[in-house]
Amino acid sequence: MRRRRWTPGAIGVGVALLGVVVLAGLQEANREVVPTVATTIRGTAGEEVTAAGTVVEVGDAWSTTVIEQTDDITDEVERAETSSRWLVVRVSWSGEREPSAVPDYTWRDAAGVEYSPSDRYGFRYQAAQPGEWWHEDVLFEVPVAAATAGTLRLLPEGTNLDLPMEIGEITVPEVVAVDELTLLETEPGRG
Amino acid sequence: MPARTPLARTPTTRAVAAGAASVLAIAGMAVSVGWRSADTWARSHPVDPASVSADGAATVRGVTLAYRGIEPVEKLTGSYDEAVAPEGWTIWVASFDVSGADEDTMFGVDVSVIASDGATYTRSDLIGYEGEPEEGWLGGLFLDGDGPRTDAVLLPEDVEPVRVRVVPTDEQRDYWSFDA
Repeated sequence: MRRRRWTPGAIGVGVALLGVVVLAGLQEANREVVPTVATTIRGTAGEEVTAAGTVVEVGDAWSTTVIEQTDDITDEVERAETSSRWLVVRVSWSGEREPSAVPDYTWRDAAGVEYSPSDRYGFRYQAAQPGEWWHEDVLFEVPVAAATAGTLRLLPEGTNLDLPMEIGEITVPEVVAVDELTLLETEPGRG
Repeated sequence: MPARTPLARTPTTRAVAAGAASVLAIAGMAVSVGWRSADTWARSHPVDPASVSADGAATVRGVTLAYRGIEPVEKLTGSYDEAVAPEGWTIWVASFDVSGADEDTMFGVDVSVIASDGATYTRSDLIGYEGEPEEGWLGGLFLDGDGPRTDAVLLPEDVEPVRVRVVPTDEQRDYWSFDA
């Protein structure tokens, strides 16, 4: 039997093929991973909803044209009016198995239009330990028609941000209209 | 050229070589993809606890933490105020001796406690501000010096610490882990 020899051409093709495969692998490994799978956990105001390691309960919701809130630093009471409506949703949350917080809220009205929190709400990030509750008033500035009922969407974030993402959608069937409202700071306990 | 029958079952040398090259190529791709992904994941997760010596000390990135234990306390006396546990909860204080840290130690740590209920607890903000010691908590800013340091957690009354973990806040692969 005649022994076969690898020709330089065959070796070159093999090395090139291996190089392409390795480069393709590196390209794949360096590709930015964007979460594409999200699970929506749905509930209704007044019941506990657990999403992404955070237990959340939406309480009352109000709409008004005048709000008052106390400045964190100066302790001065600030009063703000709007020609549309302030929408205030009281939210309580607790860690499930790890400390957790709710860094992002969205209000979706009955027509499906979504609103981000008002700049006056600011950015708050209060982690709650397992079994420890915190609550706060989340503030939106929305058209009158959007302040009657809707859905509070929330993106909880535990300390362990693993996929798949879980997004909470909590239906708020009733928003109570009031003349004016004093906003709560982020406080411990269930609101 | 060697003779081959139509029903030959013995692979030729060339076929064996081609198969081996294919396996090698696939393995190379798997390693290049898997290694990179695993390395990226590991940098943001605590995966390699440092070995703890008989005296309770462990070293990560040149900083040695000697774990001195975790004990329940009635209250925390901070620089400016005192902190007491809410009803139904107990304050636990973990103590460490730090060595090997200086102004060039460019990372901080997070302290967490895995408790007997299986949950993970960190320092609650209910006690974190009022009860902060003058030298600061161990978990927080950069480790910038040696000496005794503490950190604290709130645990439900019927729950006890099982493990104390100290994890760097930047690259988290290597960390300290102590039996409580």
